[in-house]
Amino acid sequence: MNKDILLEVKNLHVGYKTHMGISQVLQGVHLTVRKGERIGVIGESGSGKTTTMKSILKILPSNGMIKEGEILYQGRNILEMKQEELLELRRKKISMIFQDPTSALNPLFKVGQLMLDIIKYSYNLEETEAKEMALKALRDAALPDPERVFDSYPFQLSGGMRQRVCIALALIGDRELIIADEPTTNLDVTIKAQVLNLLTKLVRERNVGWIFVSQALGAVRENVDRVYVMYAGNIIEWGQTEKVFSNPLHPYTQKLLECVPKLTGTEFSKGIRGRVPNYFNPPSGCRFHPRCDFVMDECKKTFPEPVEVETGHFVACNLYRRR
Amino acid sequence: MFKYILVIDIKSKIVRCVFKMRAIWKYVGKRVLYVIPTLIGLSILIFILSRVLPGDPALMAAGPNAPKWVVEQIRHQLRLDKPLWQQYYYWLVDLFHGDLGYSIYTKRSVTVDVVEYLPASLQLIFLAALFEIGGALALGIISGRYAYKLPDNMVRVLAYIGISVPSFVWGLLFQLIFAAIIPLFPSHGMYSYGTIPPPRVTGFSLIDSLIAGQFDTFVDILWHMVLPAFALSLGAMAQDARIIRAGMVDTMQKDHVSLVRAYGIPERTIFSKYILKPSLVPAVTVMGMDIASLLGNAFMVEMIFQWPGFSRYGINVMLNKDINGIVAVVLVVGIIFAIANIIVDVVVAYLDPRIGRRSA
Amino acid sequence: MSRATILSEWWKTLEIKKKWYNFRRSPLSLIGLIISLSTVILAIFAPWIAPYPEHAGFYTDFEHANLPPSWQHLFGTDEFGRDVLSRTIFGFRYSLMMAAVVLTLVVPAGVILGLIAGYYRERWIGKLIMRISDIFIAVPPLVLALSVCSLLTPSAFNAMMAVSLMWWPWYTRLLYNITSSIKEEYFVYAAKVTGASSAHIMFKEIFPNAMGAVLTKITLDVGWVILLGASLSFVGLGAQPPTPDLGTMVSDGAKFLPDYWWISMFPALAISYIILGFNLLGDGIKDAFEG
Repeated sequence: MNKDILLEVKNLHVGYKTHMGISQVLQGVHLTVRKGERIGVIGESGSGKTTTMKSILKILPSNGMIKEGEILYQGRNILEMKQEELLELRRKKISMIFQDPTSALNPLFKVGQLMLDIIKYSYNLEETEAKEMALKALRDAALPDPERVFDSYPFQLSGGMRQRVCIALALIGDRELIIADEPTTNLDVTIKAQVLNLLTKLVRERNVGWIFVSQALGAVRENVDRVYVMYAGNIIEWGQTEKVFSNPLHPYTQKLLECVPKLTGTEFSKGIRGRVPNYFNPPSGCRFHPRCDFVMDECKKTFPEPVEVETGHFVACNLYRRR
Repeated sequence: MFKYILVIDIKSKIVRCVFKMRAIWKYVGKRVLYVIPTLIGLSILIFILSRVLPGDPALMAAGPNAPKWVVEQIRHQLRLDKPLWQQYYYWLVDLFHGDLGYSIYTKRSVTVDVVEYLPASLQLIFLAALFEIGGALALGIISGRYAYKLPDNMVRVLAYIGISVPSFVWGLLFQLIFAAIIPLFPSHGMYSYGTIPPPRVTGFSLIDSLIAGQFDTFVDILWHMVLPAFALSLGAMAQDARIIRAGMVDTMQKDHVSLVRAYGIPERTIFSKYILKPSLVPAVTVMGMDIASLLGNAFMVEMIFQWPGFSRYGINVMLNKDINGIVAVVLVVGIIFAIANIIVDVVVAYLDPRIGRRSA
Repeated sequence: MSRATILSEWWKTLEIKKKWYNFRRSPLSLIGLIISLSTVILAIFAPWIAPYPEHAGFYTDFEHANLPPSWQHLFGTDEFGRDVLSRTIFGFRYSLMMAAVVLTLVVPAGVILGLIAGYYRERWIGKLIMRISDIFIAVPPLVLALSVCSLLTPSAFNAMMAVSLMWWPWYTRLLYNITSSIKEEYFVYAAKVTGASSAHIMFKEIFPNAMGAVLTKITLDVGWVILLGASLSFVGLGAQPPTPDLGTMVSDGAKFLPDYWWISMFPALAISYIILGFNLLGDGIKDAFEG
């Protein structure tokens, strides 16, 4: 067992039970994070990124079902853990920053109350020590007046400040892995950069493992060591950041990167034709095949086996199959 | 477990209460000022209707065989010979002196009637409110906790039945089943035959009996209150149970619940602290309104159970076309309703920190 | 664009298919629909469905009075020998008629006033309308209805008028709330900027967005208005004998409890049946619009 590996997600299949049937979202998702490694996960809305992240901490909604797969944290399968071990994991090792800071903080509780509650359950400290810990975390998150923030209700803070509170929460104690689910998507444009810089700085300083889920391709490119590209519940391409971004192999990745407007060049991208598939009746084989310009017969039958095209750069596409 | 959390909650609430006092009084003052014109409008409306609509109140009061001079005397006594606006003006002046006029039905001052009968109704409504809150909380929480599973579905079906059956039907049913067929409870009245009512101190027979040390009277009164209070509370209980359940199901899916779960707070605490409280805040508004409207439903229930309360008095004055009584009843109900609404608003403003605060 | 195209485009915006799908998802809503439809059918076809239609009016047959339920009289007979089942079916007719009359009067008036009050909420007209409606909401509906009815000669017609008089403010209030929240939306500004008249904005832009809430409320109100009417006649201030009104039947039969229980219990169950049906239906409509 490689001692370096913090998190290993293997062959994850997740679905949601709804009145319209079972929505099979994740189909064999895999992910690896090493100590201190920074990972990016990119993909469209609805591709299953948040579902994957929530599965890691087992906080899926009650109609979510993990059908198959393993999520190993330092060798232990999270899906088989007993409640106490799982709670320890959530309190000490892994933390998560949610996408919408407004809905992530309970509006009826003051920020301080929430933080104290979490610290008390995690570390069993006295009130004063717990408060010290909370204030320190708020300071680390570059909040200008930690005492005041501590005493405020979430609606009294701006969007950027709320997200910084969430970041502060994520930093309490010595975490080993931080999951950031689109941390800047819901913030004002002027604040996005600030919050992202803060987050990346803290991650580098503390040398924690970091999963950065985002649709901001540029931000991901600059800040992660390796990146995973997700489409419709599958990881279709992954590898070292520079290699994936400068040499996208999968047709979807190519189109995705094309969509980012560039300073050079004269045209806007035409977009990707078609839509994200219906998870109740997903396409067979490779789920991208209805929208792919290079579709072949094999693509409709089974999901392509991943191939290492260059070192540290993998793709799951029939175009690169070894004959 | 719930009680434990409630006690701690109450202690911290008392501390915070002191600090909020000043803001609350200002808020209450504003609301009272707003409500007064409405009540005045209400009194004008019902006053005018009562003087304009019925055929000839004086004639009805005197009876068909009364000689003309008696009718004229009554007409003068009721001020019906004066122009309408003058009648209202004198009525308003009397009101400020606490005089609600003369009741043709009870042949005495309406004010005396109100003071005598109102406490009994308030008692009944209070007990009904207790049943209602307790029942709604219990059913709503069970329903929410086990959402979409068997307990939830059972409660939902019961709730529909509870809402659909009118309160007077419940009253009749309970009288039938629990007083006649299975003689568990008395079928009407406030005292059993032969019980001597306690001397009047506050007007609330329950309290008065305790003050007088007549514990068996106290129990007797309570025993008489159970059926009508329960019949009164069922409709509101069912309605509020649904609202509580809806609030809980709504809250359980929110991100802030996921967050606390992600940080390792145990499920039980999540449920009682982070799901329960936010779900109850919207429920309080509706529950307050439903409790206030118990006053309306009491009219039917008091009649069925012959409960000597304000609502039964109201029905009687209405059936006897006692115009002063009718106006007074409507006005008193309006005032109580308004007070109840203000109390509800204050409670909601207190519980939800978002109301009334400016963002930083 | 041809008339037909405009019409078909408008039809598509109604999203009937989606709403029907949302509606039929819950079995309770379908039950509500069945119950409500059965109520309406019974009301309309009462003279043909009731086994003894003549019992609904002046009829006495003391030989067959107070008979318990049997095959000839499924719901038994009352003190005058009248078939309770037939009278109950006719009772549906009177109840639904009351609901129809009241709502026909109240909904248009209340909705229009509410739209105006919400749209002009800063001006005096808006505030005036709301203050007036506040007066009628200051007391529980039953109390006001009872008092107004008591001042008039008791009759079914007067009961309907009294209930209409105090029911309109609820619609005004509903529309006021919806209009106030919608009128700052961009599509309203867009309409204003392109020169739409206030009337157009109120009725063609804002009102369609309130349709869901209004339809839901109308459906639920059928039940509540019928309940109010039954309460009024229970007390004696509504329909007068020998009209087979459900409320009057319950109160007439109440004096025979517990011995001749069927005289009041079946009409009481009938009232509950109607309210249950429209409640379930109303919830279903709410789901249909909210999805």
